[in-house]
Amino acid sequence: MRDITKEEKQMLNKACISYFEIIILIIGLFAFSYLIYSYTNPSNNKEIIAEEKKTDSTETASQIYKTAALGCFQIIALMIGLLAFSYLIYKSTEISAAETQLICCSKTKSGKWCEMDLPINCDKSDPSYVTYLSNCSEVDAGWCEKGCCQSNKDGICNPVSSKGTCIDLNGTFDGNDKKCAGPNCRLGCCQLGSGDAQLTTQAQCDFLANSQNPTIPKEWKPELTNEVQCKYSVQGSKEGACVFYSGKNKTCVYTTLDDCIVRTGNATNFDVSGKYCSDPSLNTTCKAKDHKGCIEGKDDVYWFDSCNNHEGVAQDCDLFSGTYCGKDDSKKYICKDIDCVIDGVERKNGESWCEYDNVIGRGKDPAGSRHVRHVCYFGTERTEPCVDYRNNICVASTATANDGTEFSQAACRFNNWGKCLELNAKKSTSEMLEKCPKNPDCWVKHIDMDGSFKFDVCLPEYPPGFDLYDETSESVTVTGDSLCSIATQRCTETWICGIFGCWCVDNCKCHTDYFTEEMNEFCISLGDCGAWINYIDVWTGGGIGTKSTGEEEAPPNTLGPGYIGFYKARAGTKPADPGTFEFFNSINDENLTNLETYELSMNSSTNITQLNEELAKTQKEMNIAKANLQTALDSGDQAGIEQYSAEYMALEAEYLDILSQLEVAESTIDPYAFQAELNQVAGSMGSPLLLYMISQDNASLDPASLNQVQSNPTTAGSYFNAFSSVRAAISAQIVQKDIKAGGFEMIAALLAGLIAYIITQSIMMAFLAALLAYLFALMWIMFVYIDFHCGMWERPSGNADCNKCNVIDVPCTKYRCQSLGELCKFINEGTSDELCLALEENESLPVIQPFYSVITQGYKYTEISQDGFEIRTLDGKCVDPFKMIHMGITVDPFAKCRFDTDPTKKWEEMFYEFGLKGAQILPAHQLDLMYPSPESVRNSFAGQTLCNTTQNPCKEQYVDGKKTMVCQPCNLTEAEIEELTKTEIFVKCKTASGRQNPNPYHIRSCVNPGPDLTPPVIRTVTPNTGSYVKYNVTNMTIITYVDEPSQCRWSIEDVSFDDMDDEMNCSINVITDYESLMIPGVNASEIRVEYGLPCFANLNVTNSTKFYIRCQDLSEERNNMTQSYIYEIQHSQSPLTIIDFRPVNGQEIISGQDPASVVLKVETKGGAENGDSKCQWYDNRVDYNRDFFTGDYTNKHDYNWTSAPRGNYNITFDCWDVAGNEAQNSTLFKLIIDSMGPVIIRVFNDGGLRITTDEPAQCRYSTKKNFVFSNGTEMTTSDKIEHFAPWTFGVVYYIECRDEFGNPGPRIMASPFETYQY
Amino acid sequence: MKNKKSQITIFIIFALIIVVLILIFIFWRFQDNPIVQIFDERNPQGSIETCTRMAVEDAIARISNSGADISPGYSVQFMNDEIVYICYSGENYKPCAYQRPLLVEHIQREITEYITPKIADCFEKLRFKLKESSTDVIDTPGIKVTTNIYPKHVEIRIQKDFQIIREDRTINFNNFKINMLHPIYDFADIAMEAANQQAKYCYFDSLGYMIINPSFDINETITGRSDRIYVLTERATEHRYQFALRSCPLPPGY
Repeated sequence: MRDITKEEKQMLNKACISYFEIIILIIGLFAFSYLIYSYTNPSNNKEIIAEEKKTDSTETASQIYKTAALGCFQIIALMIGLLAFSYLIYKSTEISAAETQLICCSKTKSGKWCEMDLPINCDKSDPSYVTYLSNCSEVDAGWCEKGCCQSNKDGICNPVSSKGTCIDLNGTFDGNDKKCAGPNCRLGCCQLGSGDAQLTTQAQCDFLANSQNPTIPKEWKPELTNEVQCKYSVQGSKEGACVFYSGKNKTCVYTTLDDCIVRTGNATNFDVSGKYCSDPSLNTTCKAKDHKGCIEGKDDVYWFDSCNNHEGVAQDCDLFSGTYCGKDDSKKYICKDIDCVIDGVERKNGESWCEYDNVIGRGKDPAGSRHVRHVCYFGTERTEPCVDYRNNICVASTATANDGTEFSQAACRFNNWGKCLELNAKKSTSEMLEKCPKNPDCWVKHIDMDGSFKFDVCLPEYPPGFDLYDETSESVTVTGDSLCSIATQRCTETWICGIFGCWCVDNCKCHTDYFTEEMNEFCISLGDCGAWINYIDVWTGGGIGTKSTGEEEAPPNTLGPGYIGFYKARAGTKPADPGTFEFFNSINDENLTNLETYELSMNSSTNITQLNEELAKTQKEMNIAKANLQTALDSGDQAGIEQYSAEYMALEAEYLDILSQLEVAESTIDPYAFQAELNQVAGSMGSPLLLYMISQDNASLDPASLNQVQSNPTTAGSYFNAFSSVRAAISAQIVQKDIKAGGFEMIAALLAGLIAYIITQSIMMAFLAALLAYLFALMWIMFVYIDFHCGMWERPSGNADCNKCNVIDVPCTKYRCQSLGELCKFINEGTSDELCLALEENESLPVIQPFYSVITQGYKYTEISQDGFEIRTLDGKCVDPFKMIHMGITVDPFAKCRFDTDPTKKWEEMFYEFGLKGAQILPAHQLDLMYPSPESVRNSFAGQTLCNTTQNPCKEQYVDGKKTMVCQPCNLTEAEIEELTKTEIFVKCKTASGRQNPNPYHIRSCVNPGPDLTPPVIRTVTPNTGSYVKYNVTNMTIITYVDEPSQCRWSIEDVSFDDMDDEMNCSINVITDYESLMIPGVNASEIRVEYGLPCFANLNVTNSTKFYIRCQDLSEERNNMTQSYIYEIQHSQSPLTIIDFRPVNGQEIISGQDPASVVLKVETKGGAENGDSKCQWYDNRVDYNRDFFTGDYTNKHDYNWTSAPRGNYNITFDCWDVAGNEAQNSTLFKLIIDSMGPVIIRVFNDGGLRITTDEPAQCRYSTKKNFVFSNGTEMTTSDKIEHFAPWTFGVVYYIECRDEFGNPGPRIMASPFETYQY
Repeated sequence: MKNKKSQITIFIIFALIIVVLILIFIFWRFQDNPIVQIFDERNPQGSIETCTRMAVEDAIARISNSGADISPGYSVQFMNDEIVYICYSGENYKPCAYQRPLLVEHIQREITEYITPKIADCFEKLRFKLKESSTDVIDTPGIKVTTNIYPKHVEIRIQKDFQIIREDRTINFNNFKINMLHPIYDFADIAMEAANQQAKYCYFDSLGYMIINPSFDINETITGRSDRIYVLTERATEHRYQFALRSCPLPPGY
């Protein structure tokens, strides 16, 4: 019996106590119930009274006492039980609260190392066993240090293994070799006597041989590193008849010679002629062709004799032509057809292809869709869904087999969508336009609204999927929101208006369907954004919105299911493109030539690998010739001297020739850059091994490289930096055109002139009209702003389709399930009962109420009804101007809410989400509202064209043949201002079941009338006061945010507003400026609170560090700030410089491992804070080799780059400080991997056995041929070149030398002989 | 009064039923499922071998189901099984770090730790049986069990001094060696190959591997959370082994 551990005992005790307590509680409950029953039940009371009549008073008293005592006992028991139970619950809660967080234990109590477990399960018996709060796979210290772990049992190497486990299991740990690139872990071809071969380490080869049969000869070929070549390098036809007597019978086993010796102890029993056991000449009891059967690992059907020895091939099967040995239905062995017929299409064994849920490409992959790879293997079809969220895409191509047949190959490979967005950050659009189409994962979307709103953007061909609803945090993913918002753009239509009407002159398509269609296509290409379908074709349109400053000019703000066909017709082709060399190029765009050059170099005879091999070979031959020459010189052998000197010189010339060829080759192509580039793509070639096998003749690539074709998404996180660049790039394209729009006043004037000319036929009148139009603005420009909002794709309401996820062909996942409906919930994740569950529909309409506990202090909800409420001060007054009011609503059932100023709009048509979480189904939503002052409204509107009030309404006119509302310029009256400042918003909410409140919820408020008597307030200034400025900078731009429309000035002296000379450029339009900030997805309320209206200033900072800013509002009172806002800066005293870096320029780093560890160091000086800076490094050759130096601002930076492959490096260090001072420096260094062992170039007697190696080495010897290096006797050495051992006559020394990286050189045998003195 | 008594009786019966149910639950909860063991006092070695074989088969079945452990450590739940991550990356985009390096040695240790008390129990029961059949047994305390797994087979060595004295004849049993055909080593080898590839390249070409090594079938499933579950099956014997990897995971909309 196993001993119970202390912990288990404790647990057992706790369990016993718990059960005891539960029992007491249950019994107590019954007893207490009974007690209550007995005292409260009237029938019982009657019974007691009746009894009292019958018995004497003593008996009654006794009965009562008994009952009371019993009751007391029961109450006490119940109380104890309750207390115990409460304690139990408390304890369990305490444990779960404190100790349910998984942490990384150096060692767990169950003996596992570096394992995620509960803190209570961590072994703390040894001080070296520590715990880490991060994930174990990220911890690289102490017992959890990561390194290469090699088994001492079978020699298998495991990279990135923890030290604790490795040492505990008696493995050999090397913390410096994380990826097991050392000599002991190198793979070679292990050929075993039985005819089997596989890629192994040398130690594993020994193990395999010994574990099967120690006498089986084995051969390890380190030079053969290709798995396919290794596998098929062994011809297993070394078998023969092994004849022996079993009792009186002469029997036979058809086997190898080695096995025969093991079985019979004698080689003479083995028939070398290759006869089968049933051969009559052998006279055995075995009868030929007794039955058929299969041999493990062989394709064909074989004959077997009556002794069950296999004979010749009975039926010739071929794995690659689709047949393999197997049993038919009648259990007979045949060449079984292992090809597949799928939906009438024949697929060969090993063939793979892609299947998609719906359309793919051109950004049209619907929400919830997943790419799936299918494989035909041994007659059956298997389905392999790619990584969800379309992080993998299924790509396919066909290869031609040797027999000319087509062979389809599919693979799930990394979706490089992030690279597409990154391309938009290129310096020029033309560069983006050149590179984007080269990447098959990207496409260029051209948007043109017939004017300045025209841009090109590089978008993902296969948009990524988002976490549509994070059930744990109840928040829609930020990534999705921020990505979608790239397509949130404003188009500005320009109209020229006159007394005869208005003409659109710029971006005239922005108010049409075309704008919404095009922008939505842009939007849906970014991911699960916009108005689009899920993978079962259910359309939702809530992901987009449009609005216009003139309501009537707005384009459609929803698109309906009618667009499914429209967009599907624009989708890409199937299957997805695996990519070509151009694709690789486009990923690493700085190395455009590498791949093509490499391909050429691979096809030509002079490739670098060959040259390197030749160089190494020649160098060794030179060393031997040199050693021989030295020996000849020492011995005075003239003939030898001549022979070896000639040989040496010839080799030296050859060496130099190869070296020059290599330098030329290396200058054009870096093979390791190629390797790194190739490693970018996950299995884009399908199964690399398989492809190699089916088309060896056509294989232009090194199969070893192909085998390593993989995904390297380690830099994917850097794509996030590109998002803001995309917006900037689009804005840059649009803004350029806006500048042109600036001359429209002149066009308007010319138009006026033209009209005058047509009417009067007089040039003079035309000129006069034009002049008047220009001077007096008889014709005017009207700008119409049309905003397009791109948000996350909206899940369909309800639960109707949830069950469609629960199908067998493609497993349901959380992502797929969520895409089917708001009421679809993925349950039992990880179990065999994973299910997309349809939650119950709630048919109730949402009821909205004020969120009573949420409102800014000093304000209240009034006039509350089922239709809405009003916001007023506590004393019932209107809101103070420029006051931010924080308010909220509750909604039952939970719902997502939007608002608009138009009460007629449906939920889908409303533009604004109600607060930051308006798009989520929640019980309450909160919103910040700010109210401008009446005066500021007037100031904003005065002289503007946008004026639509009761007194001065906009009028309908025909513009471009279309009925349009045109507004006239106006100065607002007090009544109009009051009307405008009455803020009314209309709220609609939608539940998960898709129910909306039929009547909008009306939230009203008003702004206090009366003159503005308060001066403006500067809320903040960016950069913050006290900031550093760059060295030698003379001017800097600051932005001051004020709370109301104002005019601001600055000065280097603290003077009054009027005495300040330098004017700031302030935004004064409270309507449009605030409006433009109210973009869903952007925390507009925060912007208002924190910032306000911006004023720009360009400060001259050459000689000043202190500035005074004052503002005056634009009200009639012209309120001034009485105190200046003091803004201070600090100068950088010197430029930031990089004073030291490592590796130094031109350095050669030699390492024994590939990839190697390289320590990058940078030291900075000067700048704003004595050299404290942040730095990053990047490899100029390969785009993705880049990272930041960790740590805060400091002057010394270290980075341990643990995975640098061999090659020439051009690393740039880029540092910057808090002031924005920048410093840059580059270093060129070479990383050499020394994988060759030292060569013993001389062996001679020099008072002992003396050997010379061609590089510093450690040498050991033994008298055993197969000695283990570490067990050998170390030779003495002073310089690591010359090594000594005793000269013992008659002893055979086996000597091996290893260099500092552990690379073994060839083992030599030295046999000292007796020397004679003449 | 009658009514009152019958109610008390019902209450007591209910209470008793609940207590009995709880006791049954407790008993069942702490009761190990007994292993049916076969003993033959005329062939002690055979008995021990049979008994050991059952324990080893049980251990291998558990390990094959979890991928590495008898009692799975940090694992992923898949189709109701707790499958250990052989290699795991907790950080998005990063290649995995080995969780069970030296998997072969680890499995050996797991098997040894699991079967040692069971084998001791086998001896105990054998001793009891032999005594029942009037056979004296000299049984020195202590037992040493060694497990070695090799390609295609598993070897168990038991060192235990065990003497049987029957009719003045003493038979010594000191070393027991049991060989079992099972591809657990080969499974571990493939698992480590897959983990090595994933740790280095974030990619393992399972189809290519299967084509070159047709004796094994590899079925790879990628879950919605980027966990990769591999199910290995030896074609000839249909022995099955499953393990989990998580390498270079990508978050939604990475």
